[in-house]
Amino acid sequence: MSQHGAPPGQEAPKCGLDSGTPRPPPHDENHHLIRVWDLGLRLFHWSLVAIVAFMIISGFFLYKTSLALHAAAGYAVMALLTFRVVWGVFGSEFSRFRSFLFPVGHSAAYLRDLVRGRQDHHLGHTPLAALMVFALLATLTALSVSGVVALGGEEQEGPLGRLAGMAAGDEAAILHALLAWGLVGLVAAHLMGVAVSSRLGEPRLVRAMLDGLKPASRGAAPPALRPGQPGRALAALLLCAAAVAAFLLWSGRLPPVPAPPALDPSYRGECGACHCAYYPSLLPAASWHTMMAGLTDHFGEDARLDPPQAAAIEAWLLAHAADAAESGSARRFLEVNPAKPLQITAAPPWLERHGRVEAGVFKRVKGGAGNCTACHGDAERGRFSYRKIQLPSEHAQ
Amino acid sequence: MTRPTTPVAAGLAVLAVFLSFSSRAADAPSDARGALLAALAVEAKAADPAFSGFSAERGAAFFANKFATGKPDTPSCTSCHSTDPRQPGQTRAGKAIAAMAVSVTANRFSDPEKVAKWFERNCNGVIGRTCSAGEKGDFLTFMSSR
Ligand code: HEC
Ligand code: HEC
Ligand code: HEC
Repeated sequence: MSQHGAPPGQEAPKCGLDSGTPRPPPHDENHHLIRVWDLGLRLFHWSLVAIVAFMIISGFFLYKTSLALHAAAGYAVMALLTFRVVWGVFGSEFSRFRSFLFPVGHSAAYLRDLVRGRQDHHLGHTPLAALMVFALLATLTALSVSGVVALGGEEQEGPLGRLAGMAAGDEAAILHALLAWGLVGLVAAHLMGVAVSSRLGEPRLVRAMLDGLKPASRGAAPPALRPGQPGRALAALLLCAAAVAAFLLWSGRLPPVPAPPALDPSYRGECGACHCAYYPSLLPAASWHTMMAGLTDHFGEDARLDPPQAAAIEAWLLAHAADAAESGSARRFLEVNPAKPLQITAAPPWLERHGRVEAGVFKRVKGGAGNCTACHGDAERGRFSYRKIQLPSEHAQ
Repeated sequence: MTRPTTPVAAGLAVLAVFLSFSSRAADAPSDARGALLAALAVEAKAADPAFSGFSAERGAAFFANKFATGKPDTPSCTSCHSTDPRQPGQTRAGKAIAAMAVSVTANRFSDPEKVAKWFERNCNGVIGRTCSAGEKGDFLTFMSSR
């Protein structure tokens, strides 16, 4: 369809911004193919397609256990975005942002035509495509930033590992998930746009992104096409790389974010005898207080302690309970199930975080959901980072 | 002629010190168990003048007995400790418990406070009362014999 142009008789789309010339079928002698998309842009486009496909799959489906690969691919996206911005200034004509920053009136006229089923032929991006490009670039930039903040705040890893706080990381993670859905929507809209545009007779739409060539009418005055400036682009990219390296060197010298306080040895020994030692920020102070007062009947067992030792453990628990936590996500563990206020695994914040884990997975764990360390390698360190999640395998029964 | 003997003597001395150390270290838990059993025997004798020593057989029967007079989830010692004392057990919450048999877990029953704490808890949980010195001694004798 795109290769064959408009059927004869239909008013054909026009070339460039000059909307006076009718567009004959593309491959006749009045037309020649000109290079619209330069090599840099095409490489950028298809690399981005591949990496974003991987990001979406790894982000949505491979749990967050594939975080290392997801993050590595994220850095590749950031490198590509940097290239695209530089190339938007120093690239050849149609790669430059200025070539597709259309005046509002022009875009409106284009849209009016489009609604009537006609499409103005643009050598470069159409106004609608330009909008899509900017929306995609902006969304990917926001995803990159929120991803790096989440990685830094929640996992103490990546370029912001020593700068982003836990609370910022938690908020960024939520934003990151929302933006990811936005990206999926944009990608779908983009593919639909390409399909519709091709149907409306936009020639060589997909092929042009492979070989860069689109038909231009010979009769019209040849548009003045600015060539790319690879030298300047390279210089700008090197400058960016130097800035990133300088930042990494500087931030690498910052002190690491302090780890959550280690478990009190007496607490760990006594309360870790029958199950993993639950990190104190997982329940509010009121729950710990009630629990410590009722150790002779503790979930159907006798877990009594010497009164002085029980008092010391309770004091330590209260000092580190959810009420005392700084991070936003830990403070959410203030909420308990009113019917079972002593049970972490019955509290809404715990249930929310495990809604995506299939019930069958918990059945494979000895002791069930309360055995946090079976899946969270760092549970007793109070972290619960995605990196350390290891689901029990089907065979490990 | 003294020259060659000096290193040999020194080597023997080092070996002797090492052996005495390692045998001491290995003996420490069994010494502690011995002291614990001796104290329990005094207590048992005080409670029952007819007491004539602990029995591994009585300990085995106690260990395997289904009391079901304590908490409903744990009718027997074997609810958590494996029925075979040489096998590891498991708590209701899924944590492994090292085997109770002294031949498998060498440092069992060597910390009197720990032993007292768990007898207190587990007897209350399983039987619904504390255990007598006789029951404790029989149990320890059984586990030490396995
Ligand atoms: C004698 C064994 C034992 C000891 C000692 C013990 N617990 Fe427990 N605990 C249990 C059992 C059994 C459960 C219930 C587990 C289940 O149902 O999966 C439980 C459950 C819990 C839960 C709820 C976990 C969940 O599923 O949400 C918390 C919190 C807890 N214990 C805290 C403590 C604290 C604090 C101490 C120390 C004072 C302690 N435990 C000592 C046996 C014990
Ligand atoms: C069967 C394995 C399993 C067990 C057992 C388990 N979790 Fe999780 N947990 C997961 C998985 C998987 C996730 C990630 C869910 C997601 O977001 O896709 C998770 C997420 C979490 C998170 C959120 C992490 C974050 O960075 O936002 C917390 C907190 C957490 N778990 C705490 C606990 C606690 C406390 C226990 C024990 C009472 C526990 N989990 C037991 C598998 C488990
Ligand atoms: C609810 C589970 C449970 C039941 C039932 C249970 N135990 Fe235990 N027991 C434990 C746990 C957990 C430990 C500590 C684990 C460890 O030291 O490795 C323990 C430790 C002990 C110890 C101390 C071991 C040492 O090395 O000092 C003794 C003694 C003991 N149990 C006796 C008994 C007796 C006797 C019964 C039956 C009346 C019994 N237990 C029933 C869970 C249980």
